Amino acid sequence: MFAYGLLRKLGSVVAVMFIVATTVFVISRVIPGDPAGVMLGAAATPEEIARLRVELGLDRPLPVQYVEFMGQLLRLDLGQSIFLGQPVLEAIIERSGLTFALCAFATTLSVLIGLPLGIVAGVWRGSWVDRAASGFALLGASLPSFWIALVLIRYLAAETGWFPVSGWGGPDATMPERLHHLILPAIVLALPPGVLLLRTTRAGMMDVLSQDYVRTARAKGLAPWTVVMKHALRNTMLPLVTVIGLTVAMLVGRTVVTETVFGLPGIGNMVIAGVQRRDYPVIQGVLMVISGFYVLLNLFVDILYTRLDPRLRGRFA
Amino acid sequence: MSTPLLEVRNLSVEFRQRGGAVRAVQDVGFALQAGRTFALVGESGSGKSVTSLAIMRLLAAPAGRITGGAVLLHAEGRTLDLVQLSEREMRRVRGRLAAMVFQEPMTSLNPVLPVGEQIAEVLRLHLGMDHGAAAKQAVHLLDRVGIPDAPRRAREYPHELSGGMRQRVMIAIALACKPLLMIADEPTTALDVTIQAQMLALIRELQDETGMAVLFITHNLGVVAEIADDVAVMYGGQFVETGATADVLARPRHPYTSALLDSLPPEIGSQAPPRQPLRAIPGGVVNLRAPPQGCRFAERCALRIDACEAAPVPLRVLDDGAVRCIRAGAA
Repeated sequence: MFAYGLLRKLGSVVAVMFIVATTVFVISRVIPGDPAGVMLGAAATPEEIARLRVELGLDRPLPVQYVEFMGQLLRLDLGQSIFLGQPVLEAIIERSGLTFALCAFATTLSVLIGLPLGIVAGVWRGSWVDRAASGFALLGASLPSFWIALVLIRYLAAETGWFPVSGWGGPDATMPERLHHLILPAIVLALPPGVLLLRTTRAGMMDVLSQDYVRTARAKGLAPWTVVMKHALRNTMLPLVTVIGLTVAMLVGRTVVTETVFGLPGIGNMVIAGVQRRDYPVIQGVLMVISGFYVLLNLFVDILYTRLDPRLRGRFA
Repeated sequence: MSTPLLEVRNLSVEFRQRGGAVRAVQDVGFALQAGRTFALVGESGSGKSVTSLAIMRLLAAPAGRITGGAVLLHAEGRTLDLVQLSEREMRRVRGRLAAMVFQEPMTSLNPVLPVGEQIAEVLRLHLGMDHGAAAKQAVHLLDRVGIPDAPRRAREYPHELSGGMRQRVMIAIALACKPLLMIADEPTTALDVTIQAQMLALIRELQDETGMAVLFITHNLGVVAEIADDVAVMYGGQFVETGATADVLARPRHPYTSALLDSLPPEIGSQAPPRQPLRAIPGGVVNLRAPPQGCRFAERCALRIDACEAAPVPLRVLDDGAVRCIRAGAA
């Protein structure tokens, strides 16, 4: 039953990735401009540009390019970057360490912010803790990330020197040095999803605490803390897993801006450069990797759901 | 007679809401001996469930609160006033000295915990059992309440069990620490008639075995007749009549009790003439936000006289019960 469901799910993953690949191809081709022109600069003659286009294979009809692109994907080949002089996959793997570390850091932070605050606000609803959390949530949700980033850079990096302003250290920086560089970007990234998590946790907590089984737990003589952490939180976890999953997915997209503001050489920066230079294979490759990550993450959340909610076990759909 | 196990004296409960306080329970009092069953009956909103939750101090805070009275539990050679206990002391009463079975077996069990664990945690908490012993005892309890294949069932989740089995699990949870008092709040209402009968038989059987006292909340007079030694009929947050079940059902002294009995459907197979329409009590439940000054049942009562509505009617204690009606004894 589980294996069958998993197989069906994997089938839909493949279908989604096919659609994503097509969309990515179309989008990268409709951006106005052309890599050959960008590469050779304004002084290039039309003949030179035309020659380079032939070299890059951009002169061929779009359907041919499309089929070739899809064929490469099937072989897990993302092609050769036009500007970086290396295979796209290799370039992505080189930069993914930073982006991955940043996302993991930010996810941890957002859970550390959202979950405890949400629980406390939901349990003591209407209390000053709840009101403070709601105020914090409102700020976190409404202040734009780039603005928060600039404020943090100015006051916590530029003026006080507590944190580095940008980059992530030299090639041989140590792990603690790198983490130190990632603290501010991670805070910026973590705020919106942390706030979302806070609100979902609070709402879920309030809902679950009014359920009959919570009254049963109290009638057993369990301490309030046990009632909340064992009986209520587990039931609240179901919607939370979805939110955390979405959060991580959102983060990967938002690293593009954050990496740019903080000058971090990750995947986000790479895709920005790719777009500016019309480096089609880079744009396509990064989008494919991010989409693939997104889809797999969703699959993982679905599986996690069936582990968390016994009612869904064996009913993998 | 020996000291009762549970004595409720002048218990009053209020719910604060926007637009004023609702006095959901007023001046309720009764005594319950070990091994006996006391039933609280009344229609929805009469205050019977609130009374039971107040005894366990499980009213939804901060809206609901006990405004007066005492709940004396004579246990372990001491007398505890549950109204005065701290929350911490109260936690040692709940689940250990007094346990509760709720109305909705479908929603009263935690959907994400195996039922065995939901029993075992009480054993660990109150009896200090380790995980292994508690799990084993949980299986034993499931078996005791009549769940077949208990070792397997203990690992299952509530949604895998039928309504009747879930209620058996609830009873097993309540029974886990051999409480002196079991409060059953409409435990059979959500179940079909056959399962109802099984549940009543089970509770009675367990009561014979453990000697616990049972406080039974129900709106069903048929169930009262079957299970209760004594009964109190509630209306509008007050007791309107109390006494031995046999007496009250055979010779009701309050017009409300009579009306309730009259509105029972005739038993199947009885000699009652067929196709007789069910009789209902006219009117609606009294508004507790602004209760009338006099008898709360007066506006629905067929026997009303002017004096009924003039002044509050006290609960008059007779030699074999009590009744809150100015005509009682006269009629």
